[in-house]
This record gives sequence, structure tokens and C-alpha cells, in this order.
Amino acid sequence: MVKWSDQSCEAGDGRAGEEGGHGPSYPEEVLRWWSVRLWGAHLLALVCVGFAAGMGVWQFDAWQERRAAEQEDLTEVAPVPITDVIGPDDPFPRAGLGRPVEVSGTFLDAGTVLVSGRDGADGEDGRWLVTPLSVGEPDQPAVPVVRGWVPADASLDDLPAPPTGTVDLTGWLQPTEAARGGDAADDEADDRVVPSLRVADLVQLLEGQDLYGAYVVAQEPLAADASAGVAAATLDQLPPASRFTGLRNILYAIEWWVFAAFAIFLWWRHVRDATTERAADGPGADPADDAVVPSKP
Amino acid sequence: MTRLFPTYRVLALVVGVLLVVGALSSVAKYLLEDGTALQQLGDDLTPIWIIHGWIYMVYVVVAFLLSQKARWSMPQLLLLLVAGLVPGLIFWVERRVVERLRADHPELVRT
Repeated sequence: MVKWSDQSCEAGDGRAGEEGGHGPSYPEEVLRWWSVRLWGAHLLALVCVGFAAGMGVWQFDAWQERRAAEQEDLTEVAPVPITDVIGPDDPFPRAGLGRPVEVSGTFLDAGTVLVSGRDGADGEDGRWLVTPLSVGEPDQPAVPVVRGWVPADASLDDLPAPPTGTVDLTGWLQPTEAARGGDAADDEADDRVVPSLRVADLVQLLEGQDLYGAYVVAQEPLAADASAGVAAATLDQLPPASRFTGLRNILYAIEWWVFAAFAIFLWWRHVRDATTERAADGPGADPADDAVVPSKP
Repeated sequence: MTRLFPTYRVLALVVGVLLVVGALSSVAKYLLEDGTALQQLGDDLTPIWIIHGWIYMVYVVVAFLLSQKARWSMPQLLLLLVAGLVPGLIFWVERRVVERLRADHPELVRT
């Protein structure tokens, strides 16, 4: 127990009233922890601890949920038909990130673009060769397919057109991208080279065509593409897209529990101070201790 | 322990600024139309709440120690703590703390 000087005692008394008299004034009777005067403190502590602990549990649950969702690296699972994972108008499913899917349909060459700023397997700058593929029949909604990676100086004129007729391919499902760098990077006066793989950009090239809110990265380039020097594209949105959000949840959970513990500590001190000082009340007791307890103005 | 007071002031400033920035970013994130640049900025600034939370924990401990030193009552300590959670309040509270300490505990204010 810290001993206080008389000077600080006076200072404490002088200030005590400024909280608008929230502080209880203690009578000369002995306070026990069950005394009615301390019920307010008990209640406040209970509410604070309960709230903080509950928030901690909530965040902890959210963290576990996210971890459960992230733990599965879906890139190695057996491919399923794309229509089993996502529909043309569906939001991107969490369980679909990086999942191998089978797509079968016809390429829509009118929508072929190059997406700039894509790293190759060795990290060198390059482009993605992308063509939407209508899933099933030619008039069905299409999903953009990354056919492969080409060096940065490649242009569409040098690359083979996508095969006609029904094509079957397997690729990893990815959510449609957000605009990169405000799309200011799109300074190449070429509509066929875009900075990000956005459905909105492709829709302009394919009037009246419905597009999925997702794209597929082909696991292997098509035979014709491979012979023209198109390499397999690497996945750049791998499953833990939300790992940080998960980390955030556990950090919040710990925070809340620390606050709960601190509230318990404050409550314990308050009760101890309120009770022991009264119990020790007497000629020999340190009078300065009284200043800990605020008095009414 | 004379470091306590300057530490408190720095923490109060940091917590206060983080709180205001965090509050503004949350307002932008939830109240503005999705997709606008400001809304996106608000969304990007969300991690500020983690930083605020952890620094606030340090602030809580320092405020507690300071209130012990200065022999403040429990409600006054609670005011110090709540100030770290209500945007803007901490700047006013910090000024009051400085005034109080200057008047009553010059030995704590000396650096």
C-alpha cells in the first residue's frame, strides 16, 4: 500500500467533488463488501466484465469461423463443374476461392483482352491472355478465362485466336477484381489491354452478354496457345484473402479479455479500498487514506 | 515515476488522434455510398481500430497508475478511461488532467 503525503491528501479532497458528486460519501459505519453502498460498484463491474468478456467470445468465435474457412486450401481438391459453385448472378462464394472448376462452353473471341501488370512464374512483368467463355451454350452467361501468361511486349495480333466450338477446361475460380490503381494505369490507348480483370470492362466488349462475377485461371494453357508461347498463369488471389480479417478478430478478442480482466482488477481494488479503510478506521489509521474515497462537494 | 505524466500526455494524444481518425473512417465506410473513393478509404482504414485498441490498453494502465499517484477517485479514473473511447473527449480531459496536476501535484508534472 502506498503511503500518501498530507499534501496530496488535501489535493485529493479539493478535487473530489468535480465529478458531479458521483462518488458515494461513506458514513462512519464499517463497510463490508456486501454493503448496499457497494452494490452500484458490483453491478457496474458485472456489466463491464460481462460485456467485455462477451465481446471477446464473439470475436473469438468469428476468428475460429474464419480459420475454419481458410484452413482448407481448395486449390488441390477435385474439380467440380463451375455451375455447382457459382451461378451467373451469385456473389462470389467464400468456399469458391481458388477452387478448381470444370468449364465447358464456347470462347467469345470478341471479348479477348490482355490484362497488364501480371507477374510470370519467375516474377517478370507480363500480361494475362483472357477470353470469356460462355458456359454451356453460346448465348449463356460467360465466365472470363485466363488462358495463360505472355510477356509484357506481346500483343493480341501475335497470339492465336481461341479455339471455336465447345472447349472443356479446368481452372481455378477467382473473384472478379477491383479496379487497380484507379485504372489510371490504363494509359495505353488500346481497349484490348486493361489493367485489371473486371467484368465491367469486359461487358463493354461483349454487348448483351451476361458475365459471371468471377473468373477462371486455366490450369494448363490450351494446346494451340502453348505452342504460341503462352505459359500457364499463376494464381494471384490465393485462399487466405481474408487472413488479416481473421487476425483482426483474434486481436480484438484478446483486447476485450484484457479489458475484462482490468475491470475485475479495478472492481477488486475499489472494494478492497472501501472496506479495509473503514475497517482500519481508528486513531492509528493513516488519515491520508480517506482521500482515496471521494466526498460530496 | 515522473515519466508517468509525459507518457500519459503522449498516449492521450495518440489515442485521441486514432479515435478521431477511426471514427471518421467508420462514418465514411458505413454511411457513404459503396464504391466511392472516400468509402473505400474508410474501409481501408479499418485496421486503425486494432491499433487504437492496443494503444488504448496501454493508456488504461498508465491512466490507472497516474490516478493512483494523484489520488483520484474511481469516477475520475473512469472518466479518464471513457475519454479514450469517445471521439474528441480525450483532448478536453487531457487538458483538465494537466491543469489539475499542475495545481495539485507539481512534483508529478516536473520532467
